[in-house]
Amino acid sequence: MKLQREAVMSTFNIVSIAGRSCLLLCCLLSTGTDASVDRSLELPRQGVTPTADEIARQVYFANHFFSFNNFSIDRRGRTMSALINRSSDGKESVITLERHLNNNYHSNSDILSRDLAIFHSGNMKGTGMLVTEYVDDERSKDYITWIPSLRKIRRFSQPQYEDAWAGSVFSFGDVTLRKPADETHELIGTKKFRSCLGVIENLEGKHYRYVDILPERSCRHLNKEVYGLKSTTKFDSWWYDYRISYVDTTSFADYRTLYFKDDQLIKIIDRDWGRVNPNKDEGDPRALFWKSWYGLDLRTGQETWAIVPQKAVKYNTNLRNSFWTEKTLRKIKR
Amino acid sequence: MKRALTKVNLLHCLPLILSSFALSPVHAVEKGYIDAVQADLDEFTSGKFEPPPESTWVGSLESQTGGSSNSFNKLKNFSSYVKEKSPGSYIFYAKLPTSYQIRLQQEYLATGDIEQLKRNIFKYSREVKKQKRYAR
Repeated sequence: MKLQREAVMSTFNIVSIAGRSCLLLCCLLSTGTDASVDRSLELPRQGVTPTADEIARQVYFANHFFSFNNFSIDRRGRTMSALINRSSDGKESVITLERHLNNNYHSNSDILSRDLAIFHSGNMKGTGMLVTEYVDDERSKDYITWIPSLRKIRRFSQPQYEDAWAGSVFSFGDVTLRKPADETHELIGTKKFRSCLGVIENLEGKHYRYVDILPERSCRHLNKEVYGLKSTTKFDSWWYDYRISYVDTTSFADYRTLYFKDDQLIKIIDRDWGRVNPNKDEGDPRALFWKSWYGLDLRTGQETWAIVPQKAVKYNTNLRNSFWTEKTLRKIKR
Repeated sequence: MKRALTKVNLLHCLPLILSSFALSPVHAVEKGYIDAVQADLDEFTSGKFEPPPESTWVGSLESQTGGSSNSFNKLKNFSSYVKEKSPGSYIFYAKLPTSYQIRLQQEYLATGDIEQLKRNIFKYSREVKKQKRYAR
């Protein structure tokens, strides 16, 4: 009886944790644009300033890694991506994971992409999640989770936009669910990016388990030309009124997003990006990878820092589509 | 009697003393960062960038003219950065022709990978050495 109760409780815990953490895998998905955007989206013509809607679509393209057939943030020994959460009272927690995204589906398929995440530490250790995004914009995403304590697969409904992702500053909307159609976009100007990207200051540049050394604040993007994209939500009584994103005019990497409520800055999300092809004149400039995400909630003082070690990044590998199935979830060791 | 009382008082206070150590200090978010973000944002409306004084989160006043002490857009700043981050690699970096240094700068701007940068410094040093040997 006791064992049964424990099993039910552990299932419940995993389900709730799983719900919160779908993001991790999705983190790897994207921020705000249209699901109707696919891999065929072309770069805007050179020398012509794109419209605000076009910019939003390009940002979505970059965040979904549509330039790649597949994209993995793998595990190399003990090095893997880590999500550090820090509450306002200074308490830290960390979650580590590996993640694999596949965009290589035939144009006749109803699947747009599949994203597999496997968690390696914390309460979610051993949990696997497979998220399927469909070509049909109206169709919600499928969330399938491998629950290690039960050794079974469970399906979940799509989380709410405003739900915190893995207890972090990022919401599911920030990370993956928000679509361009949910907002109206306005180009407020073009200027140079002037400030370094945020980090959790007292961890900056320090040795850290899982990632070897935590990065220092990134100032590489100073003086790069960025678009100011103002996106106003269409939802009533929403947690923010509008947000302003700084989008690179060449690569469409969104380095920073500022959220406003009643004209007050309430949240900041910074993203550091790297280019797969160091030569800027070669290849698709949107072929980018995340190096880190930093989030700060000014209402609560909570900070989140997600770090992706570069040596764990792989793309266009020979993995077959069958890797992104329930079969792989079932193979996860307890 | 007096000594015994002191002992009792100390024992009484011990949990309080210990708990004061156990409580973690309230974490204050770096104000300089928020000021820099605000100054960056204000440029959209004012058309002019006014960096907060002595901020380590923005470029210096040179930013007005396109340069910045933190920016690696200028080769000089980038070279100083390499010297600071990896003095050993800098010895080889400094001997490279300017064209290679610019190449390294562009690569670092694109990827932000310091380990790759170090590897490339040695790779290019070998290349240059070979070229010199063949030239003879």
